[in-house]
Amino acid sequence: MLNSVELTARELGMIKLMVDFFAEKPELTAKIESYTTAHYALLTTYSENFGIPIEDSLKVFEELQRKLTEAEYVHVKAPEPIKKLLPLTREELNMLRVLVDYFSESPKMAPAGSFLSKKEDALAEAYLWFYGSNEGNGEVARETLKNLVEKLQTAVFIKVDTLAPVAVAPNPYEAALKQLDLAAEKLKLDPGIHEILKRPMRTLIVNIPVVMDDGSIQVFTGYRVQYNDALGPTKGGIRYHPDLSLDEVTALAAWMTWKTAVTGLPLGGGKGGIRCNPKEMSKAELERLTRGYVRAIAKFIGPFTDVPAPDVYTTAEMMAWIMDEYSEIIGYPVFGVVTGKPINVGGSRGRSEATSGA
Amino acid sequence: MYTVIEAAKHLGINLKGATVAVQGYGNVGYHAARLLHEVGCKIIAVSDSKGGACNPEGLDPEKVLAHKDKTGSVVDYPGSTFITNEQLLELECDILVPAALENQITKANADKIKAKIVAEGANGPVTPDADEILFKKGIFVIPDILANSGGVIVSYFEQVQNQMNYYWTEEEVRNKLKETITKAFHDVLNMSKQHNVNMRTAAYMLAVKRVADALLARKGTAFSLESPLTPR
Repeated sequence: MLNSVELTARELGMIKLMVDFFAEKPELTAKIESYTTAHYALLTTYSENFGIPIEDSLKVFEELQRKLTEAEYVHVKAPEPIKKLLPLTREELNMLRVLVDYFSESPKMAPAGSFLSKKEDALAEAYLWFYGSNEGNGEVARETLKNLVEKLQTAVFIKVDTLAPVAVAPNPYEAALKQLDLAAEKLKLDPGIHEILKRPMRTLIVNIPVVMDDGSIQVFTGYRVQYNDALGPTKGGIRYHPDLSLDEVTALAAWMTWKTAVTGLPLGGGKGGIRCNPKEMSKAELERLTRGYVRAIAKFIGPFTDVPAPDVYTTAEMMAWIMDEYSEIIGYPVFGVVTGKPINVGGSRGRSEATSGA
Repeated sequence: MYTVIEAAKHLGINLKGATVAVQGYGNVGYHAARLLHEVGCKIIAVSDSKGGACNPEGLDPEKVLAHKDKTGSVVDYPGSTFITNEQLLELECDILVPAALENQITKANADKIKAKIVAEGANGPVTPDADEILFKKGIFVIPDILANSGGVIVSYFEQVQNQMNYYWTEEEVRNKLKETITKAFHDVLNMSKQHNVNMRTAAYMLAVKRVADALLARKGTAFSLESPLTPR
């Protein structure tokens, strides 16, 4: 199965620095002349730029190299106004591998000691040797390098598709079940009831098409988990995050069930969210996404069934959109469908000191 | 942070002059510092992602916030000395409020915690193995599920006000919040005494018991074998 990984901010920074070495930046050119190898020049410059120890720079480099070695496809997100995911061509990806190899401690492709003069030639030669066909010539390779450098210089983020297994973070849902199991054991809870509480009552997965500012359509996946409503309508936040998973939402919905219960509120527990990167989206796009999500889940939420709230990367303003969209569907103002709203549209006084949260 | 006030009463700690360290100075951290300062505690250290400010004579939470708004960090607040986030956790103090990130108190540093009360403002700042070490050391941990439940309580109040279309003053909301959270604290405390478990386990036990009891009360005989009905 093809897995997608987004390069971390540090890894992106390192790629950009590598590219900058090839972009004729005078301040870098002057600086690197004091170093003997590309590897050392990269790591020390990176350490200085980001204020981290050189061992950490090395770790970033090694992780980056591993990811690119395993990469099947690489996509680069361009900044405004294009903002699209552009795939690297097969040639560009190969060239990127040569580039990273060139900066490694003992390059396997590029000849060592070629750092100071004719860097481009060294890369072109290495590229032809490892990836070039019979018709390939240095001119084409240099052109590929130039295109690659241009694409990477402006990249906002880089996504890597790989067939290699991605390191799995501990499953949050399983962790949540451990808390339940411990409580059940101490309470000598009936095994049947325990079984009911291990699973969410209702899980909704929706796909939300959104027209982006450039006119293209993107489809986002949203979730709403209603974990348990024995004590009352389910309650819990909505989070927007690029790494959001159904397991995470389910674990948080279970946690909300225990939180409302322990606090003595007549409410059940729920949680929702959308897999998206709000930092990469305009406000208008976020509004269309939020309203689309409400239309998709409108039949399942409401003041007597399930009441969302703000959470990670969702705001009071978005709660007002949710309330408004839901009210448009129902036909009259329904302030009680969502909480965490601004005070002038049904928000409560005394919220800020009570802290954020569902 | 009403739970801290109740915990102090329970442990016989005089809040007047009690020393407090707060890790994280966002909404949770700031309001914790402000409230505890109001009841007479001495805020000896606060921090954010850039580091911390320490003054054994006490800091003024409002002025620290103004300094943070101006400079982007609590670091270098006039009259304070620099302290790292790690050092802050290990300070000699009565009350420690980790209100920044998860996994701050682990088995690596749990032994060095000197506070008498640890109130989890953030979600999951104490790891499960550290939790056990703190329990054995006799440190009273107020679990996240209880300590940061203010948000969901006010959310509930918001919805109640929406449904009756009648709104309370800030004073009313604050009093109801205090009442709700104080009752929840004592419910959990009783559970912990009754079963001789720490506050976190007691909180989960109480929550699961309440949900299970409600399920049984609602479904009645539907859950017994004699009934022709099936659950849901």
